[in-house]
Amino acid sequence: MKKITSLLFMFVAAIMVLTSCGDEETPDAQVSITGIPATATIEAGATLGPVTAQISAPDGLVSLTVKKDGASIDTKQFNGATTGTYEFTYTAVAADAGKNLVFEFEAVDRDGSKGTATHVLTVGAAVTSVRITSNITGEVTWTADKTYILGGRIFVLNGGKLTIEAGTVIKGEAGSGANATALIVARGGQIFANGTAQAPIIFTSVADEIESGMIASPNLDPDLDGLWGGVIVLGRAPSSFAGDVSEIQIEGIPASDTNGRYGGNIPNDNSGVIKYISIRHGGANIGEGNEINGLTLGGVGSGTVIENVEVIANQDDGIEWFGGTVNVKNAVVWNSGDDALDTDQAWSGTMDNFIVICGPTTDHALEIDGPEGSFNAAHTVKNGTIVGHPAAEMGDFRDGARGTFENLYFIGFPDPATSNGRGDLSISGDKSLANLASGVLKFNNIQTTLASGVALDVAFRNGVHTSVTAVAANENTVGADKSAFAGWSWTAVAGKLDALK
Amino acid sequence: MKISLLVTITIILLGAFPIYSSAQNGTIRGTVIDEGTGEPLFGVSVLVVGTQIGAVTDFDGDFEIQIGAGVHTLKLSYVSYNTVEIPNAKVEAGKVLVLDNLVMAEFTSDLETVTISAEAIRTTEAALMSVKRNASNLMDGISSSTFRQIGDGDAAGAIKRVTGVSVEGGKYVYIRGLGDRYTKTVLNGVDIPGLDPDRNTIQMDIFPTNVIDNIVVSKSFTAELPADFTGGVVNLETKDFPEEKTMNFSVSGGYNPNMHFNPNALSVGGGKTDWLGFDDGGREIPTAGVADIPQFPDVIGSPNSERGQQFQSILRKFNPTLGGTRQRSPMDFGLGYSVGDQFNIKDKKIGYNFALTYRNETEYYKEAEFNLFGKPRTSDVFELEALERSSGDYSTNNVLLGGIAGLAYKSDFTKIKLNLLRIQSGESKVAQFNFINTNLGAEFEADQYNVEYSERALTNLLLSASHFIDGGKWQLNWKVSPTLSTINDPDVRITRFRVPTNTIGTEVGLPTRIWRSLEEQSLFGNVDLTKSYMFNSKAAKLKFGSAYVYKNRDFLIESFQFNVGNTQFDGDPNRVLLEENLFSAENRNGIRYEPTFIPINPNQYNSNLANIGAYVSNEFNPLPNLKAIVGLRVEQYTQYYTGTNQTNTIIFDNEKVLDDLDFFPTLNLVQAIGQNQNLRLAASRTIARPSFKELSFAEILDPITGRTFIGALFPETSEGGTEILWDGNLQATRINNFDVRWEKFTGRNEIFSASIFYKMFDRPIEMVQFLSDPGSFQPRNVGNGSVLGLELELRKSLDLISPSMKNFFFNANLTFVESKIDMSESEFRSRELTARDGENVSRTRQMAGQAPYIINTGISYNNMISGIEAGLFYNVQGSTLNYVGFGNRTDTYTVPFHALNFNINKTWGKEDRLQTSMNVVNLLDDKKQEVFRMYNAEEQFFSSLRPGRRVSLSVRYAIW
Repeated sequence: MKKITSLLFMFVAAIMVLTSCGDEETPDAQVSITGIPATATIEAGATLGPVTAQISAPDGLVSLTVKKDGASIDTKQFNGATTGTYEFTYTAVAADAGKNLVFEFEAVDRDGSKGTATHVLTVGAAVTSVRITSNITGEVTWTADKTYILGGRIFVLNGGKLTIEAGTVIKGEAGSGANATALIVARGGQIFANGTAQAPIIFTSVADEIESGMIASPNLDPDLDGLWGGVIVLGRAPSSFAGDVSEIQIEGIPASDTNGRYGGNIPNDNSGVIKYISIRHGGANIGEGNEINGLTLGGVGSGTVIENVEVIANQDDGIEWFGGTVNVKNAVVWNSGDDALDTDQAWSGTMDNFIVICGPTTDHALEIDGPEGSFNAAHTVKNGTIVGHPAAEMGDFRDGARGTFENLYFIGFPDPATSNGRGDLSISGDKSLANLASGVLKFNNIQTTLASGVALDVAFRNGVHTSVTAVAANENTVGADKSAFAGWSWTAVAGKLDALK
Repeated sequence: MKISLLVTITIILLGAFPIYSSAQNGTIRGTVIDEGTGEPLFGVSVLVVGTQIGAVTDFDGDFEIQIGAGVHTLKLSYVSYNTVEIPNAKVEAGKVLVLDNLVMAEFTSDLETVTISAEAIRTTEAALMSVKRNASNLMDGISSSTFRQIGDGDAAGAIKRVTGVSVEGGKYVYIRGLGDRYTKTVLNGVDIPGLDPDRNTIQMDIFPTNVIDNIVVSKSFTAELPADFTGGVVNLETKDFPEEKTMNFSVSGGYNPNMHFNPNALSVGGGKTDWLGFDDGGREIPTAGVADIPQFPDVIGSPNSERGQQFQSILRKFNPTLGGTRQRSPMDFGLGYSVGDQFNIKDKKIGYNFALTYRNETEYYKEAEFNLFGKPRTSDVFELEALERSSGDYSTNNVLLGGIAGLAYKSDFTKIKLNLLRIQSGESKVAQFNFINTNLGAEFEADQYNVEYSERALTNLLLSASHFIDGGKWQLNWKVSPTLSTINDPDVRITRFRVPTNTIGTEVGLPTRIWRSLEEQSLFGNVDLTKSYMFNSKAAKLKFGSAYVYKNRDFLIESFQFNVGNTQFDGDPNRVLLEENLFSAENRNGIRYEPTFIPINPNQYNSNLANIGAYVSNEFNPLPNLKAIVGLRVEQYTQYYTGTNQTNTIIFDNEKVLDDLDFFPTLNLVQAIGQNQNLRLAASRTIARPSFKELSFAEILDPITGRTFIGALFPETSEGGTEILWDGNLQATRINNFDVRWEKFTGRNEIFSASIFYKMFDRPIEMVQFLSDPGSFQPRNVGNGSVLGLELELRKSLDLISPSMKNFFFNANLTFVESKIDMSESEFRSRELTARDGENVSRTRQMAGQAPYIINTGISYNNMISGIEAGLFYNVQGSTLNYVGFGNRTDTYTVPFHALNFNINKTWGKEDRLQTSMNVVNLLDDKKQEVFRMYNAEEQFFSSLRPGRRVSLSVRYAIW
């Protein structure tokens, strides 16, 4: 922009010199156009100008015509004034890339005298990637024709509004620990990631050669994790914190960065809309118990819409809720490094319709914790299909876990007796057991297909087995509706859902 | 290289000294002290009765006489002082008779002559007592005459005998139970960084006693001292002119049945030079010299590209040893060598001394525990909740190599001293712990392996001089002293396997490697001028001067973690970084390193400070029996910081972070009551300033405790940013100090004193947890504090029980302190939110780090004739708040450690050439423990270590 301004300035100066030299005495006054640079260079997708053409026609100006490569694109009429101005702007389209566009400006006066100016615009290749290095304030839109590179820990700050078009690909630069790259919606900021089933929004690493329009990565396996951070949404909804403080720092962000706080007392807080997004190869670890998950939801309020989310190969958890009231519909988690779905701090929303495909490093498919402070609330997790792995556990309900877990189907987990206690669903600790006994923690309509010879009460411990029915493989009548993931999720495209009912 | 320098100096020193003493003659050397001021007397004539031989004391009160072998009588005379006669001074051919600490008193009667036996002079601590009695400020100390008799091999052992002093971990000195922040240790009056520059105090155990002239502890401030002390200043003064020619070799060994010759102790192969206290370069960071470190996402798509190969090559340079092996632990041993003498070249006296110390010590702690407990979430539960528990064992091997060389020159009116000190130490640590995490949001059991190495080095040069002008009426002293101090922690390694699956993942924490380095250069200089004059017909002194301190520190932490991909493990830490597990083109989801310090590293910073001080101080007697010191010091202190925060949004480029101009007035009054009692009064203002690390944007994660240190420059807010919990503006603490002391000196070497001290702290600095993240700690100014203390000291010969017990002394130093801090609003709120039912949360609490009481007591036996010195000493420090709890974390306290130690020394032979000593430490086999406390709840361990009993023997032989 600065470059164009200085070019303009030089051009104006040149014209002034030329015009003063070329002054001839003729009865017919000349028409002149100044203010249009002779040349400029922009990238496809970028916009030239606006530049203002100054037209001088002592005999009375009639009209100005603008031609692009000989074809007229605009005409402005003047009513015989001796001077006039014309604002010129042009946005280069993809088709212009690599071309020199010739713009001719022709002004005509009352006696037919003509003044012309010519501008040659060189259009470079379209900008396909934009590196984001500073936090987002105000309204910003990311468009599908570009790839956005996260150059650090990027916050959508309080009052900021980030809109991401369907089909946009966002890639995190390399960085680990506290240097992990991540997109974080701070409290009071909003994200409108409106993907569609045809054009999901993809968050991945710069190592991924994926482009807009693709679903599967062309070069990365679906079990490579930890290449960047993740997506974090922080809100002002009630949560249950240790020490009953009103707000705390989200995991994975150092406490020195106060943008990482969440919690509050606005149950219907609205952090925006997240639809059809796929988050891959992320997860960062600052220290033990201090990690970035695929999708981290800290104190997110029920005014926020989250539907159709996929998390693949995250180094830590797939989706983790820290308190808040937000509901999530249609989620698929594949190859999570730690737990697939993890809930803490009295999250009180509903997870409806989800599939978990455990990988070799998955710990628990479900890790459900209770409130950490004295504020109590519970969530509902329903209509899910959970596919195990020889090293994974179905679930751990602990630390005073509470909530309702219904219409879930577990398959593919190992025999706890031969896998060091893996493969089971257990209720840990006195508080969780008391909640199970009192019905504060309840299981309804659970179905499972266990490894052969495994008794229900060996896999579903602490009395949970009474809510469980064994069924033949994929003969389940409860579980996820996998059609919600068809087409847009890599998990479905990779065939990982084919065997499921 | 470093050693060769020292060796060269030794050779020069050994080779250069001339052999002076002729065969028939012997030498008498002595020092004369004014009883009234406790200072050396200049111009005393010393005559050998019946001869023409004599000498006059110089400005240090020193004299030297060459005389034929035999028994002589010395006569000391000085105008208006009582004459002193010393009969029976036995001089042997070629030997030096040392008569230090000869005390002369102002005359009481024309005819009076005081007779002192030469024997007695050698056996008392009279000089220091005399200094103490008459010093204008409150001070205690110990001198070389004591070291000669008792078997303390190093300064840490010796200073334990000074009142009101406690020694932490056998290394660091605390005064009156005040924490490290308020105690300062200086060497020859020069502020030098210790081996741990984050501490104010120098490690005391690195100084062998035979290079120390005296250690003086000042508990009240006078204007010529640096203002940044509150509890006190410990000054170690090295020798300049050894009284006699000495050359000693010593060998020592220590044995601890709990720790040594244990076949299950842990050890790890280290570098070839570890035994000398430094790494041979084998622990160098694999990315050394790499400007643009490749990261995994850069190379995953192209493992065999140039960058990919660079990544793989760096990856393979990480030492694959992540755990120790079980091996029999060696015992401790040490070697010492020292040499020193003085000689004359044409009336000019030259003194030199040189000492080398080597120590190699091994510790092995079994059943060590480090835990984290929290408050349960509901207020009606009165049982602390276990969050993290680790138990296991660890070994350390600590090597220390130190050398000190001093050269001193004295002419009639000038003394110049050059001192070079070099210390290096290396500590290797290997640990193996079982770790159980039941913290919020986690639940697992893991095996943890640690391998660490830390090397420290300190080089200090001191050039100091005293000039006596106008017949000693004026004295000019100046000092220049540069210091270089480095700490490197090359390759700290932490690995955890989950139990029982032996998996490694984010839940248990990824394998981590850390390289830390710190380099600090400092320069100290000062000039003091003293004018002696008479006021009210008593000696008076006017002092003024200026001091300058400059320090510059570079700090860097670089750490890596290892994503293990889909690698499977068998639980052996040394089979993690196997070639087949590492990332390669064939194993793209193999183990790879992740440099967590790029692109932005908040733990790379530079800080520097300059402190310019000036003072004026007048010591005089306004009334005949009232001595006063009135002074004023001014210090202009500036500190600068260069560094960035984690997000690079705040960048400081040599930005001023502290700029203080302060005036420190001081008043000390000593009212003599009769011959042997004093009443003292002191009032002063002092300051405690934040350290370099504290005034920074550093974010230092301790991977073992999971705690993060956060520099004070970051603010903390709550309630959506509307409430400021900490404004990021860390300030120095101003302290007003008041002391009253009554003391009575009775008989030989006996004292009884009682002091009351009161200190008012203006917003002291404490480590405070983040309200939003209890795992993060930050230094912050908290509410105002105060300390009120009572200190009692008694040293008494037991001859009052029976005359036969005259060689037994009873020693007691008792300090009782009540400290109080006004809690910050956030701390008070946090405590209210987590209060138990029935708990009443007070707005004040005790100061962190301040012991409520300290008891130092013991019985010692000292028989000069048989050369036996023995003592039984008991020390205990009351339960002290060390971490302030926040949120669901609760306060931690130390558990009183009852230390009962015994030592016995015996010198052998007519000339006491052989000295043997035995020390037994921790006779009661007590444990070192810290606990979590909560209202009405049973305490739980924060840490628990069993140091065991240690017996050490040492033999010292004087060749000369």
